[in-house]
Amino acid sequence: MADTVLLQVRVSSTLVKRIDELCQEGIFRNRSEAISDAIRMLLSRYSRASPEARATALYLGGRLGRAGNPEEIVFQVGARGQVSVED
Amino acid sequence: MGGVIALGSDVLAIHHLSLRSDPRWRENEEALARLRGTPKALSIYALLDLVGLVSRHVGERSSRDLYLGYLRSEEHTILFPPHHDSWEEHIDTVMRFLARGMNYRDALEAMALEATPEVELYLSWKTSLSGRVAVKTQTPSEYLAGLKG
Repeated sequence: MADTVLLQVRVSSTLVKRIDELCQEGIFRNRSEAISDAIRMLLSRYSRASPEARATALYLGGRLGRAGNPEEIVFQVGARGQVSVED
Repeated sequence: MGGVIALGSDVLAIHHLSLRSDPRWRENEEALARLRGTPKALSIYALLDLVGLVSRHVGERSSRDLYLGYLRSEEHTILFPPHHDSWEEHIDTVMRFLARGMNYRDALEAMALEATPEVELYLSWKTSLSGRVAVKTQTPSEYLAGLKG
């Protein structure tokens, strides 16, 4: 067995029930295998995430630093001709 | 978040793209100027709409920077309505808004607005949500007229 660490986490009973159902179906051998698979998927998701997706995760977690007013960003596009904001 | 005004993507697009030849330009700028320094909101759908318009008319880098700028903004809150894990749940929710006679894009906007009780006014040139969403809606023109009494 690869080097393993005992991880104590609190998980809702509903989630545990669903994990146990997957184990009973034979999809996973036990809870540890199911949770390890979920952690691998989580890490894979964030390793592929764009800067915008990572920033969104931080924003939703209330951990993104706030600074500035984006309304100050203005592009001189209007003079180039017909642009519709209703497209 | 106290009582806030939510901005439509059209209001922000006219501003960011400097659409000076648009007949709504002057009032649009005046309304945004009046709101400077006050807490504002926009839905994630309005922000993504805006990002798409900037990507088309300015470029990808600028559109990505603008997205990050709004997430980090001190003045703006981005409204993320509850996310559904399944299409069934999404259809169930969105259908209730479509049933009010709005299109899908408006339904998404309405979902975000109504999920945030702190939104007291929705400011947009589009009038298609007026009377169909449980939030007062005004155009920037109407908003300015209200200020001038």
